[in-house]
Amino acid sequence: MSWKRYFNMFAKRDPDETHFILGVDLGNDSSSLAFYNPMRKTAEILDISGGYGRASSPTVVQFLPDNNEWVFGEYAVLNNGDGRELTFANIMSKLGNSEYVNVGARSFSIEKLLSLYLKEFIGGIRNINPKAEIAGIIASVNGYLSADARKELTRAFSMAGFDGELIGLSTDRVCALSYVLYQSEFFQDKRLPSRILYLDCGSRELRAAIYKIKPAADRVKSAEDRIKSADGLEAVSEFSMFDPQLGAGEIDKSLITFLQKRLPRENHNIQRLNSFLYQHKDMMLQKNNWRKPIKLYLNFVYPPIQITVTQAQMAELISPFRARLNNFIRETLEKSEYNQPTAIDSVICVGGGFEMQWLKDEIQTLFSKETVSFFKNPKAVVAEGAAILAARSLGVAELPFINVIDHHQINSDLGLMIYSGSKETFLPIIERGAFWWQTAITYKFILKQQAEMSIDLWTRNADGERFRLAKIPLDGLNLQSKGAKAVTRLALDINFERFNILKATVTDCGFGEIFPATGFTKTISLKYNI
Amino acid sequence: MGTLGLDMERGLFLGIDFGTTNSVVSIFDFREGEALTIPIDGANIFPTAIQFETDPEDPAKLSRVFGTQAKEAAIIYPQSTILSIKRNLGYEEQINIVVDEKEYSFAPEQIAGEILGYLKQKADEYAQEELGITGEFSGCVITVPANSTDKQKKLTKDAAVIAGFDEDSVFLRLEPAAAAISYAVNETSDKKVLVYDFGGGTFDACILQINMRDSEPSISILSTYGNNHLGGNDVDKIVMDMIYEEFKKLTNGEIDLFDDNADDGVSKRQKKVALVRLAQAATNAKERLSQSKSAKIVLAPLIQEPRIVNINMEISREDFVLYRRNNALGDAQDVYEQFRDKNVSDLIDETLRCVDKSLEAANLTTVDIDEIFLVGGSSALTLVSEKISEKFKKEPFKSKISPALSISQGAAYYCNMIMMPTVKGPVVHEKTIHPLGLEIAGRRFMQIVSQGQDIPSDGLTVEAGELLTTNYDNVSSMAIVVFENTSPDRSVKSPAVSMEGMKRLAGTSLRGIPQGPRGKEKVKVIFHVGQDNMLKVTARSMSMDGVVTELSVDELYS
Repeated sequence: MSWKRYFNMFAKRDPDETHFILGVDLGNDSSSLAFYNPMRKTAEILDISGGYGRASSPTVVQFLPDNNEWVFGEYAVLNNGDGRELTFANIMSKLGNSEYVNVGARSFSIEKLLSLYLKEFIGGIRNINPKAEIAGIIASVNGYLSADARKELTRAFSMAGFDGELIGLSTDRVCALSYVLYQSEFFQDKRLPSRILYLDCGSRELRAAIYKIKPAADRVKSAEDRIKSADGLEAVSEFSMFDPQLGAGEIDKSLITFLQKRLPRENHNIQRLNSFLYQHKDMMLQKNNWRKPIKLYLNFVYPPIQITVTQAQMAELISPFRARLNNFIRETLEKSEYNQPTAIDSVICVGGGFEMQWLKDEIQTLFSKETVSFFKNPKAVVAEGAAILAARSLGVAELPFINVIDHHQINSDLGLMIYSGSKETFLPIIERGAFWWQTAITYKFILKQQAEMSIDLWTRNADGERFRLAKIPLDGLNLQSKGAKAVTRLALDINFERFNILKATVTDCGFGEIFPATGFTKTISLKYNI
Repeated sequence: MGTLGLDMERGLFLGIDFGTTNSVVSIFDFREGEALTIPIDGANIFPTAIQFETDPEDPAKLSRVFGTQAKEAAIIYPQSTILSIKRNLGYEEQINIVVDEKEYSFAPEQIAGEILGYLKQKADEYAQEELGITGEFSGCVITVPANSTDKQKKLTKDAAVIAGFDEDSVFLRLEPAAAAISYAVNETSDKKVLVYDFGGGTFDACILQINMRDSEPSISILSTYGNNHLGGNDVDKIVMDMIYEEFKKLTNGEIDLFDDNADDGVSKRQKKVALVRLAQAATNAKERLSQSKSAKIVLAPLIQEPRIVNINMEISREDFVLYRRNNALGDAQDVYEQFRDKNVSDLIDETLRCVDKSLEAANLTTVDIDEIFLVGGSSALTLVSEKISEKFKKEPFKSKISPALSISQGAAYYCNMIMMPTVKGPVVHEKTIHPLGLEIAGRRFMQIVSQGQDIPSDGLTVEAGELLTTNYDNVSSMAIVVFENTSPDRSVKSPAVSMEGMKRLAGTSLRGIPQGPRGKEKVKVIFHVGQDNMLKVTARSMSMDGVVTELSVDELYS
């Protein structure tokens, strides 16, 4: 049944325990599922780990060819390395590229794989309550997920049978800020911070953003009125940064290397080690386990091996991350021109990385204790926020709207125009929605001899309209004679040097040893208002 | 956060699900009005395991390792690791371990106390470091299987005291009732619910009536029935049997892993290691078979000497369900006899027989049950859902939180009820589960406490309807034998104590009765049942000049 029909139904009567209003946080590493409890007027996390008591489940799909069977989540991770299984991880990062994978003799699109996961993951609530009816779903995704990726994700929901139930997609920041501002102490105490440092530590990166919180309508004055106001709140980004080296996945890699160094080479099976780490890293990374050394038993090797991990070894492993985090926070504050931690009213810490004790400790020392907010389930905050938004959309939760305005997300696609005969196609290199600090992929292409040697940069807005942005002159570039025509192979990098300052560099790559690179390079910088 | 789980007079209270395989601890968060599970060693589910080793700083002492580390150490150090201690509580047998070739012996409650002490210590640290609460957990609610004997309950209490909880602040509550609270907390309508609690070592069926009063659920336990010797561990044994059969085939039956003294060229230590690995592989395979059609078992090698034996097999879900156990696998003969030739389907049928008994005791049939709620890790078996659905013609429910956490979170709600009885929230009306009484002349059962009687907060006191009298002249003592009628039949007024379902709880003699002619001396018997369903029996000689004697359950067991 469509969520719109539930909207009409809830206008007449309250939802009961059979109505599930869901928030889904689809992460690259793991996913969480929350429901809005109308009795308690709050979002609660659902256990979808298969009885392991975790608030999230790995976003992993696995095919077992021997049984012609698909398995998912935690089971797939623990099963990894057992035999001929085909494991598909990092699915979310593969969306939007029309990618296919081979499963035996068949070919599966990424959206199909994701649909299988969604069916199991969301459909699992019928195991919890056989009378469950899904009234509506809000799915949270990364703010920078491309338009194509969003389309594929929406199709995946449809293929999983949740076409009518999907209310829409929202960004992780909107969901997390909704949870934080409306469900936490701020809402209870009617005490809104005016400037928030939002830290999100996921598997891929640590992201920081400074938001100014203000009423959507300026006429509303007091904090209490702001909350009551139907006009809602605005969270306007003033600065943002990210660091992939501080993603929780980087710590995992260090832990794997740590284990490998202590194992004979024949036992370096990365899949087995990943499964082992999945089960033990929480134990290794929790401070209150460090009264004495931790003993790890690698029972998947024969003969089983015991490794003793001391506090000093863990401190050494974490040390470069601590230093990098300190620099990252300092840089964030400096570049945002706030300089002092005291300029921040509240530090909100979300994402699975904040399950790591060292990260919490470090943030706690950088800011005053009263300023920092940690959550019981940092991994689940986004899903809980999505469930609250879903309840709001269904008219069940009367909450003002929060409008998150990220000035640091690029408002148009940036790229090249490809000419093939009479046909011209726009090729995006930086996609709309990406944050300016994200590094774009270097694009390599072959350039043929033409009258005017230059490359044009183009933009494409949300309506599909294209505009020429700049011209990069290629004076002095010597083309190679390849076959009948003079051509060369060039690499184009487009990045933001600073906020609103776009830098494009063209480099001659040549063709291997026969036509080596000439060393030609050309860089332009231009002002581009994001 | 200052009020989290805190009672100014009683201190902090902890809800503990002390399970055979895993334990979970939770606290009631007054501010949020919800139960919060405390992660121990980074995980919500803590393996109930302990391993001993020589203290590196003082070789004369032992140091302990707990939880996941201990469970996994069992493969390398099987002789110094103890798993499933709950199964030993209530039995006289000491637990023997070997550490660095030195032997040590412990009472089961001592081991249980050490594990509970570790849980307490970790919960104290969490409360102080994460929740900013000063002080420590001085009280607790520990859940016990519905069919626990009084001795098991008493020893569980003793273990909690050993762990460091105040004796007066240790409360026991029934596991299925605790699970029911975590389920009922969000209920909005009146209903009858069957809680099907299939844990690692025990099975309990419990029927509850939920009534909404002032928008809060009020829960009454209508009946409960269970089997303290049937759990997921017994299902694991069936898988272990399948693997062991493969091993026997590969070794032509020449190696007996369960006989340390057999002259088969395999060292004692190698056998112990192999058995722990077999057991863990069986548990993993069972868990996988709950989610997948088959499970691969690779133990390569299982043993290395006198020759390499590699296990590489696949068990399908169908084989798993139909396979009949035919090896003792180290179990005592009487235990093995209960499971010989049984398959998984038979074990689940046994749980359904307990369900029938529970329905019968509550005077209900399957159609009267509105909802079925599955609890405990073993209820994840696909066949459980299938058989329940077939029997009740409706699909069962599972917890929104993990089924493994619901008992502990229910215990945390109990903490709230004990500490803050006036605060709004679900309320459980404790009732007696089975009739209790004494053996009287002619080996008949005299019922004193009937089934389903309300137990007030300070306990239920019932005086025997008639005084006991001496049967012979000049006797100075009288036998006091307490029975529980676990399957009462309303059509039989004074059943024989030898009937099926009669459970002898305790027995002793009331000594020092003034001698006199038969029937002259009269004895008054009073039963007192606490909210933890623990029984205290007092027998008092009524003679004006005679000795007044009182007996309690504690003394009965002394």
